[in-house]
Amino acid sequence: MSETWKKIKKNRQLYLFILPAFLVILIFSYIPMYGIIIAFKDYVPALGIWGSPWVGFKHFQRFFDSYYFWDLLKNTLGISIYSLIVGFPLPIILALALNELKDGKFKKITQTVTYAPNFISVVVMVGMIVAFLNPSTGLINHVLDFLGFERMDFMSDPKWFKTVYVLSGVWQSTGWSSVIYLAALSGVDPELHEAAVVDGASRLRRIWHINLPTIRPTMVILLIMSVGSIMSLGHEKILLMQNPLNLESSNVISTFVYQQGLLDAQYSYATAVGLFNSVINAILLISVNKVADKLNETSLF
Amino acid sequence: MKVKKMTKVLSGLFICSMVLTACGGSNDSSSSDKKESSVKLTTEGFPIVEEETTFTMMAPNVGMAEWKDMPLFQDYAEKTGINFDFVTPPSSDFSTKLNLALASGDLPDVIYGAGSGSLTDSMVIEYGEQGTFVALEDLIADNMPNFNKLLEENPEIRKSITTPDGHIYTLPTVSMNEPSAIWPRGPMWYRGEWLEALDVKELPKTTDEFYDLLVRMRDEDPNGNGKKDEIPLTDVKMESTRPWLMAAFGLKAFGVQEDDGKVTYAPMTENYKGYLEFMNKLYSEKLLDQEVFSQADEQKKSKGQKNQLGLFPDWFSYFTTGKDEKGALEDPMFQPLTSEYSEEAVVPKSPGISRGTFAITKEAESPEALLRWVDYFYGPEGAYYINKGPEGVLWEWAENSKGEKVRVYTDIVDTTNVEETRGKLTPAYGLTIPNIDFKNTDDLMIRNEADDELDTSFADFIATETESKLAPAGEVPMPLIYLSKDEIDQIKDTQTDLQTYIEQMEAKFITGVEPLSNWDKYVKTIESMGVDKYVEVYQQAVDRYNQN
Repeated sequence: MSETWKKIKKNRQLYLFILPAFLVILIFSYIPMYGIIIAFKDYVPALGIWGSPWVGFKHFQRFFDSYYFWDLLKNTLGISIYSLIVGFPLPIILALALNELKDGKFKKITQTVTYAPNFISVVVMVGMIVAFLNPSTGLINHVLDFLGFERMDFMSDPKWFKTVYVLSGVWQSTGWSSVIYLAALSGVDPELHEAAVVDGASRLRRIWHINLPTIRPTMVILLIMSVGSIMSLGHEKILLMQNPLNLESSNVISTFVYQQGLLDAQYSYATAVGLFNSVINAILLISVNKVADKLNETSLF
Repeated sequence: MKVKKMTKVLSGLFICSMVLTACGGSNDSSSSDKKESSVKLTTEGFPIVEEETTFTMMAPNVGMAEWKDMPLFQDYAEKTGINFDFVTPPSSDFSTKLNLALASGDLPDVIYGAGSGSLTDSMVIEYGEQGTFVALEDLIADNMPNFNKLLEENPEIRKSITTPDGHIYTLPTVSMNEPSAIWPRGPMWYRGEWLEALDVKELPKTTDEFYDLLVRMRDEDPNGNGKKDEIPLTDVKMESTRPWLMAAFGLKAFGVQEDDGKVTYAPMTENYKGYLEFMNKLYSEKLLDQEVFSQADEQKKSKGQKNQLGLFPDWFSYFTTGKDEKGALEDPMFQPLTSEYSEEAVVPKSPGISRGTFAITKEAESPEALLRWVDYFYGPEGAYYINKGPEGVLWEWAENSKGEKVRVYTDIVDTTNVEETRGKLTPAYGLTIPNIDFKNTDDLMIRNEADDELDTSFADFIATETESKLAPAGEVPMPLIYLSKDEIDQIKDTQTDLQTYIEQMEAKFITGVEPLSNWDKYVKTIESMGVDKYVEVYQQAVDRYNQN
């Protein structure tokens, strides 16, 4: 005991730094977790969480039997994996490219331009998407028309929903996500590059053999983290983009939970659905973490 | 060794958190036993309470003003001695916030102006049964002279607001005298200049004539700009045109409807198939706005202001066209249609009562005081008061040259936009609030100047159009009934699934994404969702209603 205390005492400033974050997570993430028990109960507000009757797996059963179960699962996974495949490599490519630029105006402008969309709020963002894609007045359709293609109604075609969602997300977040890779790249030892140049390595070779291996741990960590959030699509953007015509491909678990839980007030049911979502999420996270550990010897935990 | 200590620390934290949560959960139980009320009521009239007192009120804010700043509440608080602390989340967020408040037990004394969209029937039943809402039926006779009189004169109202277990948990909006009270939502309006340009003397009365007119609107450049930019018919997600167009096929509801005591599910009937075929034809021939399912209301309005629309739904036509009341007189109301499916014109009609506008929770110290507070608005004087506010804000008394006392707008009112001022002074703007609507008689009308002649042309226009076109065809699609808790539990899942499915499929059938040859498959899916049970439950409830 005394040894630990001594250590804590010695590093007390560091512990003090962690304390707020620790408390935030404890209060807002761990304590509310006891609420998930209402997934196994018929929650009645007047009786409180403990007073409500237990019902076992009734709400889970109901979800699995629901007409929309497979659609929801398919859409949630579909959109997430699509985002991951398209959205994950792009910031890396952007960072590698930016890194090759000499410091100067051009680099600064490029960075600012790619960051900027990150600061647009979701509501404004969706408003812009809808305006750009409007079949009669939208910018994109004018371009299509000019190039001799047919005008398309992207927002009401379920086939396009995922693409519009993912690409607009990429546009918004790529610049911002590349920052962390740029930081990692700045840690590359210049001597390695100098040696490689002496050996006659081309620029691409140097990127491949020096830059990429250096940022590999960062990549793996970020990959694991994005897999961890694969099922937790933000429902705001999807809700804003939804309409009856694209519902078929835009109905996802998080929008369903919002609909059932907050709008229809079926708390126990929505909690059960949310819990199911989190369990899948956790399974994915742990497996990817394991695989990464085996292959790369880098892992989150 | 280290691990063990870590465990200790963690378990300590865990215990802490359990204690914290236990504290958090305990507030539910304390308030259930009734406290002795410290609020002393007066015997009659104003003020209502002997000593000034304050309650909390939760209500949706439509974004015109803070409720505490509204002159109506300030003036009425002075009269009654009852103040309020307002909790008013924006109306777009209100359902969510109300649900959270009810689920967490962090209750206001009064829930005001929610309407059955936010304070749904199933919530009323559930929270009523749990004792969260106070049952009002025994308190009404003693504390609500105006409302009680209304109930005695119209037994329908009592029937409509009483739940199956015999309680009244919420008070309604009653609008029986206004012509627009029978509108289930805003009607559709033709653009008058277009009809003139096309030399249309008589509005279409059948779906065929209707189709022909839309074709002419599309092809003959009625807005006269030389461009082919006319959109004959528009809407946002079909929400407002659906009731009027489905009616041409003999259907009154996008769900269950009742005819002579028999309940059917409209979206699986042959008539509905006829409606889909017709709408699909309109869509594929570009007679129906191609953006009908993806546009927002603002986009629809901007098309109306650019004179691109021939027929559109809105509460009043000038909201879409951007004209003023005078200009709106030339835009006639849609005439209900007949078709081979329905020889007689039928349109859905509002029952004139909306529930869920006023509920008192168990937190309230004196439900009696609150009922007396709200009762005033169910009488003629109070109904006017809550609509136009106290004297001296929106209107004031003046004397005209003939020596008569008339009401005129005050100086602060921009008379071209009266609603703007009105929205800032009273909650009776954009919300269904607990009150009764009375017809605006001449002595209640407000003039710009004391000597102005009364201009009632717009009100008269609305009244005539409604009386001549909608009233003869109007039928209430479903009586205002409450399902019991048990019945709600039986159909809850089916209802959500069905609603999502039919909305989605309507859009697909109309736009042709799904061909109508898949109709049988569609009906089968609806059946597999349990529609039989769903209809049966409603049938049961309607039978019960008709027996009482």
